[in-house]
Amino acid sequence: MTNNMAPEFSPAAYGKRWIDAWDHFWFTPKAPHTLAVIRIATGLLLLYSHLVVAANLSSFLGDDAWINNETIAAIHQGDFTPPDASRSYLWNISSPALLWTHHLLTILVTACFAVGFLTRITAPLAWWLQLMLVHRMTGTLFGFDQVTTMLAMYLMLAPCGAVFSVDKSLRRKFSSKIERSDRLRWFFPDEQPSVSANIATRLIQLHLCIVYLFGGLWKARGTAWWDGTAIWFAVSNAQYQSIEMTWIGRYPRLFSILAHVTVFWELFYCALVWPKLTRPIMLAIAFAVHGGIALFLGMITFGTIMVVANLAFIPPSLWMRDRRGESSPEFAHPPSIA
Amino acid sequence: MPTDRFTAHSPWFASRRVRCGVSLLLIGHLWAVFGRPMEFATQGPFGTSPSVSMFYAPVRGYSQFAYLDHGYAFFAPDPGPSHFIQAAVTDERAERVELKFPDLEQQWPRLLYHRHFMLAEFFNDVYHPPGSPPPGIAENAMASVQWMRGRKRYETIRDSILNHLRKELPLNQVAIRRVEHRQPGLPEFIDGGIGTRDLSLLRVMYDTIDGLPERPQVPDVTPTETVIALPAEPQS
Repeated sequence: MTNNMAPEFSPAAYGKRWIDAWDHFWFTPKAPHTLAVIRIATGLLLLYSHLVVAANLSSFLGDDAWINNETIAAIHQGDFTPPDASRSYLWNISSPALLWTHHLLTILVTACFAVGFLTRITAPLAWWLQLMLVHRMTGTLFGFDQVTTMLAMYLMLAPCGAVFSVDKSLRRKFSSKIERSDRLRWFFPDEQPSVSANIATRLIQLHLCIVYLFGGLWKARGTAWWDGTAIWFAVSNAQYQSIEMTWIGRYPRLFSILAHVTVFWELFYCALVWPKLTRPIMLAIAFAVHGGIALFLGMITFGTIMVVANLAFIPPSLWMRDRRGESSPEFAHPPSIA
Repeated sequence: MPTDRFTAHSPWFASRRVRCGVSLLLIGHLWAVFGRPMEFATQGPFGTSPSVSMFYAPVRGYSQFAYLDHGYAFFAPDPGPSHFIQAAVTDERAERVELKFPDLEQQWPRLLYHRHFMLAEFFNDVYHPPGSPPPGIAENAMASVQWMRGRKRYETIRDSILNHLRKELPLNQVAIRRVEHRQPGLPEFIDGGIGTRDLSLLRVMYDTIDGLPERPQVPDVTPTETVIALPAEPQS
């Protein structure tokens, strides 16, 4: 029996192209500049969040909090519903002095993370402390906490303190000593493209695609997003309002267009944010939608962190002084799968 | 993939074995990221889709611990009403003031207000009516236990909120209740002149069986039957 299949369509060749595309997608080195910008923004927003909690620490942590230690443990450990794997040592801390010490440490570590000081240590620590806090603050959390924790998790995987950071200044100041030690070179990374920076960027991008896909699917299950009144019901919710937008109720064509664009943008973001042709449109709508949420619906922090997460699709070269330094290899050589 | 693609800063990834190992970790992580919203989206009156439940089960623990277990149903399926906690605080002279959480006048900055807002929504979400399981549930032992646990969870959270208020406001008696604040429909707003803070949009949510108000179980005083006034419209 003769095999008439052209070599490029053979299963082996097809599989190899898939593997090459996978390798290209995940393991192409990337410069850390975009991640450094995301680090600064995420760090500052996390710091702000911790400071707000600090101003009312006993309301959120300890035995007299809105949701006290005993209740939070019971919620997660299966007293009422099947147990989950959320755990935080903060469930067991009652001493106000210890809680204050822990929270001041959280603030200090997060500030260091934001300015890029000892980032190889402060990035994972900032994520861990945030994780312990969110598992303790069940009931008072929202999308802002989900996205900041997600970004902190991915940033710790990459040399996000290599640029725009105190670490970079330290590396320059002690360059002769750092260059002689492998350990110190890892601890104070330079701004060369790295695979870990690419992996962190890809994870943010894919996670964001999943967020929007399910956000769109959920909206598609409602009726208000289809008849166009969803925007009206969002801006007329008095508890969200930060700027009066109910005038939009007199312009049904306008608010219904906004509703339809939102649904289709969320549903198709995961596909259309990748091609160069449609990416600017997807990002422009993302900035508009989240800017609107920040300004008009009183969720400045949530709107801002979503804009920050979308920066993962901005090539690092945009933030470089010398833009000839990196030409975004993933766009210069797009992978071919089919 | 040629190894010269990797810089001196990523030498580990030159090894195919390392790339395979990292790839497996990435797939496992993305499985967890995707699994929970998928499970959440496939929940129905008879439970979760069995195939999706099975798909998510291996990564459930990791997803929960890493705080990746979210549904991402923002303002969906439809933007609904919001809720607040109303507290009646009676001092030693029997004078009563009523507080609400969240309250823009009391909680600043906006993030602090929003944390209280989420607390009120959480308190409403966990609400479970009192009493014995109704017919249809009572016949099923497992469903009955879940019914009782649902009520116990609500009461535990309610008591925790009351305990917090009593610590914050010593020497006072405190009672709380849930209030729903719906949005006006367009005809109400445009033709009926009902603003977003009109008192007619508020509904006290009683702790009831079959729609009948029940005597408060824990509160020391009964909140007034009237709803409290809302702050003035925000200035644009």
